[in-house]
Amino acid sequence: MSATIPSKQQLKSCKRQLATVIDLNKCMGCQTCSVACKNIWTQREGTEHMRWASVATCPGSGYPRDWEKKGGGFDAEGRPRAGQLTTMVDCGDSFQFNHEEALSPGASGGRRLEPRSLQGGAPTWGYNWDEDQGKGEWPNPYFFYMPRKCNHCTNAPCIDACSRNAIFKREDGIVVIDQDRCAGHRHCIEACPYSMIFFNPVTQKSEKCIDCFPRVEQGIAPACNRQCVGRTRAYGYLDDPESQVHKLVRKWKVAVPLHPEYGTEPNVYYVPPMSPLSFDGEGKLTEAGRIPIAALERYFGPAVRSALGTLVEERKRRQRGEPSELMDLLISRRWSDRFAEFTREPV
Amino acid sequence: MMRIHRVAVSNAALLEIDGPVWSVLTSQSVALSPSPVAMVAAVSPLMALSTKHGKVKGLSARMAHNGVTLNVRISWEDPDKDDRIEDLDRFVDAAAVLFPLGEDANPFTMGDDRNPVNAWFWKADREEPFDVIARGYSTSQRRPGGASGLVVRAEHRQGAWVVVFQRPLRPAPGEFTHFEPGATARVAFAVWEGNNADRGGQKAVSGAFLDLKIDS
Ligand code: SF4
Ligand code: SF4
Repeated sequence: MSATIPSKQQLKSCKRQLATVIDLNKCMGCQTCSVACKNIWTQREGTEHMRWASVATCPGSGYPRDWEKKGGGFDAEGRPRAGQLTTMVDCGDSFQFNHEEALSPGASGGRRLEPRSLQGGAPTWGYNWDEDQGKGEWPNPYFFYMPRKCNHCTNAPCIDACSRNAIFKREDGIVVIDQDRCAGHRHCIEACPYSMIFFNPVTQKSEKCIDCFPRVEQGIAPACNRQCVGRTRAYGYLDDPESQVHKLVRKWKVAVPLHPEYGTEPNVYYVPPMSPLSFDGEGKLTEAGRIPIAALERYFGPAVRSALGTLVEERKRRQRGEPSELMDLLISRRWSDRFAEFTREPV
Repeated sequence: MMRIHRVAVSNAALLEIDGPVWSVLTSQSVALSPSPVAMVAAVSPLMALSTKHGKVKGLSARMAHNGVTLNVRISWEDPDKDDRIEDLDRFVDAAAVLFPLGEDANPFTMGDDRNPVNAWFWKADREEPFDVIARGYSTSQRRPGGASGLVVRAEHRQGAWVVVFQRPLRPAPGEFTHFEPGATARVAFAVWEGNNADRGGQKAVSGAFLDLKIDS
């Protein structure tokens, strides 16, 4: 290999790693995070279908639709797995309404307000099409919300896949696509098992979450994290022992990555949902959680068991009136506690 | 050895896809095969898994110069015209003519840092072609065709594409191939079938550089 062409290892290296932790017990699916992101980054022509930050109901098809079935990432031996591209409809369509026709004063009577798919006709799928459906039978139905963004993976297959070497990790661990180098070949979209890269058909380049690096460089947390009204999110350097992300991921080990089996070493971590308790046949509350542990393992791998165990134990400690650092961390009485040194005001 | 015929017609006439000059020149057929993606696995291990790319099996080429411009007319069968990105998973048809700038350039790797290559690159969704310079796979730079005076005409009809490239034999200074009447040159071809998700390194290629004799 020529000396002028960087190796994939060089493109993947970084000095430190920024990380996000999201507490799924507190997420209420309000979409403030996804709207905050959309307002800042994806209001340009060609980005209508993109949500660099999204929230979908689990279990469900997710966003983009069926992303978990599209391949990518690595197999158990660390070899790249083939993957599939997403379509406009997978990415939520971006259907428009016939406002003119239905609402203008001179409009011919009887036309109802109807959504129209970008592909023409009535939409067949959209962002949050299956919201709150979840799974399970009455009286024990269950669901939880899954906010997502690019995981800024340590072993990012998108970097490997890019035949233009346009994707790289910054020194702070944020993964970005150099728009000048990108040629729109979309190998990265096939490679990302999280379907977190989106094609812009206007610029003919691929785009993704940039973890709000222009804000981060000014000491301001990414918009999805900062704007979260549920106070579900923490942000900071994983190696900073004072940061909440370090404490939740490394010290208490209650925050785990989504689909670790994809082999990408993601840097968005989730505090798994503690189920509501289920009812038995007589309608009496039992000790068992409603979300089958197997379902949670399917999302978060085997580490979810010990994470949940610790959460339950520490909650009981608190219920007995004893102190619990973990419960205090998760409550985060001051919002600024969650963001390490990234607490400056955006304006 | 392929031949670049000397003809006494204007640049405008050579740019006419169905111009009379093209019908009198013999066409030379060039076999195409899937690009050997394993050779560039270090730059894209995922692409190296591809087994479906490079569907187009061959093209026919006619080449002519009039002392001022070099003209390459290629055509190949392609039942579907993909000249627009209709959805996020769609690609457009494309073709390229590749010339070595360095003596030992390897067309499969798009040259290397000592042996650059120069490509004339047409995409079905653009009026203006690119004049590409590359020093190894992943390094190619798309310069606007205007930089070297490269122009293209293309038409899809009866299940086939016909594309004519035209560029001055001796373009303005820059990293562009120069051609001298009476001398020899080398060329390679590539075709991308949009409907087959061909793009970048996933293409049908003609193989090692083919020798060209330029009429004086
Ligand atoms: S989540 Fe996808 S786009 Fe983001 S770094 Fe990982 S592989 Fe790349
Ligand atoms: S803003 Fe916070 S609470 Fe609302 S959906 Fe996003 S992560 Fe959940």
